[in-house]
Amino acid sequence: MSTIKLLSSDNAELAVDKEVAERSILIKNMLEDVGGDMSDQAIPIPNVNEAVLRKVIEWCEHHKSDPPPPADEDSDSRKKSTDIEEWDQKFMQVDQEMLFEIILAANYLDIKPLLDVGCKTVANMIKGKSPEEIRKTFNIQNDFTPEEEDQIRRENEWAEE
Amino acid sequence: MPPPMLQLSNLINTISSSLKAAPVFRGRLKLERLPVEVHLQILSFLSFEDQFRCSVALPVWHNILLAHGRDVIFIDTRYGNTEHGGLNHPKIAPVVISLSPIYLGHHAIFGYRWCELQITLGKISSVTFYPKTRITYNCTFLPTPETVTAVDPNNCYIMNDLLIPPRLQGFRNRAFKGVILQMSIATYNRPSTRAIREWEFYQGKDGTDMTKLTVMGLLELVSERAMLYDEVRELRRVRLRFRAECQPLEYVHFYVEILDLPDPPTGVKRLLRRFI
Repeated sequence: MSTIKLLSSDNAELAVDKEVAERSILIKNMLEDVGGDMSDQAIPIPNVNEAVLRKVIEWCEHHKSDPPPPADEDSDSRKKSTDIEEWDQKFMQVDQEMLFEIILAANYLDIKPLLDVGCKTVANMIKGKSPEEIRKTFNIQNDFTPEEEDQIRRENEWAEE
Repeated sequence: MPPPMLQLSNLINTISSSLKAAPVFRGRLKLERLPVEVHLQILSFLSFEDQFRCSVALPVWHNILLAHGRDVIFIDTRYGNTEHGGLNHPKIAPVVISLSPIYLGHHAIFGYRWCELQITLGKISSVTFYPKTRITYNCTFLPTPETVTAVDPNNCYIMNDLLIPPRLQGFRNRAFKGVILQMSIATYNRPSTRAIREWEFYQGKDGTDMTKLTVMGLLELVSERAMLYDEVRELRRVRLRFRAECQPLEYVHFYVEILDLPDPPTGVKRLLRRFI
């Protein structure tokens, strides 16, 4: 099996099986365009740093024999389920910054199943939470002034009478 | 034809130079910085209710929903797979199965929910939605900040949503022709005064495409009709309860219960959340 080399944004060269790397539609199309052998030149992935690229490759290794995703016509009727398989759940147990980096990388490299898993992970962090809890979860600055907060509080006091 | 190697290095050069121009993330990568298409995908995995809470929590989500709220990606969450109402609601799901796909379906916001309108000079100036479970008939309710949220009708994505799911429009030549409004009016804390005042078909004026009717369009229609009655005209706040029933016909039947509300105590103004 042929291997290819990927060059991360921080200039780390990673060797990957061609089959694994082709989970990325971007790389797959690129390889098809140049028509094959490129064992001695590394493909630059300038948007993704080494740590993230390693994570992405780890995911692709595990999923290299997955069946291809259904065609677009089917995706419309597919259930919007946020179930994630166990291995992927473990894989996504990283800090938020890494999670967002993985999502960004999957989006850039065009690895749709990985992007799906990432988005579902974020969606599961949101489900059933109040806006305040969502802000806390993602460390979003509340843009209400203290006066406005106070007003909301008093308004609710009135409503509870 | 140049050798493949040359093509590759050309390709690499092109990519490298195009990426130099791409924005560089500085500091921590935060949720807000993800591209719009990723946000859309995240939101599409959430229920209608969760989407609404997201729009309150983060201005970026509010703006995305305002701009893309009618995208096809959200259809399932607006008219289908939702907790309250929608095609999969346990109460109507059996109907859907037996009648689908001639069943029209309607927007999930009108499933089992109270809605309060503030009316200024004959125009709707704010809309508040309450889940039905939080409210009793005589207007005592237990609000939670996340469920009681006033919206500015001019700046809320839900108001622009279509009443009828676009995908089902015109299916089997059964076009959506209009709404049936059944309105009843009662006085605050005296529900026994309730009386049915109206039962009418609205098909829109000549040449009006009813399939373009939005949530806001329906609320305007209801408030316009309600203002024709003396006991409602002088009010500044009315509370409506919608119960929509989709018949396998060309019409959606809305039962609208109208309730006048006392003014809030002086000195306490209802706050319109800033970005919603």
